[in-house]
Amino acid sequence: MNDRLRHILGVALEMPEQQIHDKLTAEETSNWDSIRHLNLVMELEEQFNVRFSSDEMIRLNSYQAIADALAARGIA
Amino acid sequence: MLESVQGRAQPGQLPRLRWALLSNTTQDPLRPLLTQLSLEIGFAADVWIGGYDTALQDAAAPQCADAEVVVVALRLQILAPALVDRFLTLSAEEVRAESQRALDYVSAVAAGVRQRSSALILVHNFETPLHPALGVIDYGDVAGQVNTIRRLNLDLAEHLGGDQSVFIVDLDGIRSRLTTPRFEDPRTWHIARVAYTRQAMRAIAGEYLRVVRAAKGRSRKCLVVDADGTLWGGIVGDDGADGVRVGRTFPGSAFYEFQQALLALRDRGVLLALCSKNDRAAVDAVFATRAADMPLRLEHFAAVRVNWVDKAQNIREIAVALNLGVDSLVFVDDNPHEIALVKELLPAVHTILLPDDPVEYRDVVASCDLFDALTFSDEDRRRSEMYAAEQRRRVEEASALSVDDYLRGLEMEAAIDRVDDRAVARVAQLTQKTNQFNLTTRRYTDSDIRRFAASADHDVFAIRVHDRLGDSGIVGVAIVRHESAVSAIDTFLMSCRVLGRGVEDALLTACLLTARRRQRRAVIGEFVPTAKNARVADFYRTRGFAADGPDRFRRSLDDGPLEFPSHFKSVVIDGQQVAP
Repeated sequence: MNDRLRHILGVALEMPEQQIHDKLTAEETSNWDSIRHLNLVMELEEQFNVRFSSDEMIRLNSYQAIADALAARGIA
Repeated sequence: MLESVQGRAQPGQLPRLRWALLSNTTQDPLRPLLTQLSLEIGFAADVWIGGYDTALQDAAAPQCADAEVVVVALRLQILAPALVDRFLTLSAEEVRAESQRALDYVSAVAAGVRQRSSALILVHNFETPLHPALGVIDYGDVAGQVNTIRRLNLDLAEHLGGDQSVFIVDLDGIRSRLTTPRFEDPRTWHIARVAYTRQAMRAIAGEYLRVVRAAKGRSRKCLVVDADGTLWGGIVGDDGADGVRVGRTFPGSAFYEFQQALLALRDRGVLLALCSKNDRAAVDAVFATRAADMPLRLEHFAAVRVNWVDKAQNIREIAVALNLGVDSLVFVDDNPHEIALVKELLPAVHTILLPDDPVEYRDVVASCDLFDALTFSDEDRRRSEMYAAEQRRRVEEASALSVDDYLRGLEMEAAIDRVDDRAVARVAQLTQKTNQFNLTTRRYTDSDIRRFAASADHDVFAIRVHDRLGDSGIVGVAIVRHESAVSAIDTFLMSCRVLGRGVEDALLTACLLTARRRQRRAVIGEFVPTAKNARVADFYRTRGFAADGPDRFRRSLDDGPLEFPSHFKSVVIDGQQVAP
């Protein structure tokens, strides 16, 4: 899952995959703006066939938060 | 739905396509989708997105003036929120004013764009609410919310219709064609003023691309169809022209409808071509002998290749004959091998493999969005106006029309024929299937019908009806047995879909006529009650027959004229016109 998630983040945030690491947060990443964030969330929903609540959509603002939300849905 | 990427060119080598999106909602998520779809038809997209709710100002921006395609996507919820959220608090006057304001704003944005550029302008119209203000009664109220928004959409089309390079993007249409259930996304709407789900945005972008494809001359112009298994069910080489499945009733009706869909494309100006692995004579025989069962004629095809050469070769020749590139062709076949071969040898041809179930064929062709043209000739337009006027007349006259006027207006023509080989199967099938309008419910096989038809003292009649709206095919059967002094009606049945139009009376009169011509004194009718045929218990009694025993009726032929219902435009028996 890590590779797949890294890939999705890289594409959605328009960043090289090597720069995607598990401590990545929106606050500290200039490319992680609100529009790319929206694209990222929609891409995650489509790729993993999940649906986030509006609250979650806002809170998925770090690699860890995304990994946790997916894990909570049984996607390890 | 879309063509594959033309070649393997990098975006840098492709021609650029500049887009400008003017909106009062957030359009950014559309950018990657539009880029992807543009790439699929061979363009490197350059998407400029105007400010949030600054469409009128953006229309004057240089990026907008430079664009080849300008999208005006204004949401009613922002433009005139009361029409959407608090419709019932508005007076009629306020509804009018709000509608006018929305219309004026959209028109002003479009006009502002046009003032500075000759771009294609794609204008979103307004979604009607899924749950309208007045609930279930809203739709029937011309001043209700749904009809108000529909009228607004109509006004918008009328306002913008004068500009040949303005196109309406119909959101209701896209919403109803969407295969996923969600169109709006309330989460992204609240968080970021992004109105639609990603699937919906993809469909909306796809709709834009239809216009672009046509404008860039990349629409397809010719549909090449296979014959066996495509135009009709079965294989003409094995089943014979009589045996292939096509006609007004199931299972042939699926193919009949598919042919109608092909003709509808032809009406729009799409060329049809036929490409079949067959003996030419066999295919010709189907068109010659099954003409009554098929809307398509050989003449409808602009090119025909029926032979045993491979289809890629034939399709190449069709393209040459029609003076088209193979990239203007769409090829439809039910055989995956033929599709694979054409895909392999002629990748520029768009191929469609028909689904397993023929009833799905029609939608596959109807939903193909590769044939769009941006103009419709004046002549075509006049024709559609005439149709529209005729439609209006019909609506206006409907209430004043008597049943008799209605029937007369149908211009019905009945052909009553003694069955021949081609009709045997349908006649036997009707005796086996018909339950309600069936006086005796005697079930007969093909060979029974053949035996009656060959017998000197039987007449087997099949009645076929044609009217202004089309051909109904064989809809009724009568089998008359001529005894020494009288004629007896052994079987009399009618397909339910023509009831109430006097077809049964025409067929009965034909039975009486044949008895009189054979100098019989009377006709005997029987009614054999079943669980399902009660509606015809009084059939003979109400048509001049007198009771002659239980469920047996008799009509004397001594005197009096035998008349056909007067509303028929013509009645023909065995090729002889007998009425009017």
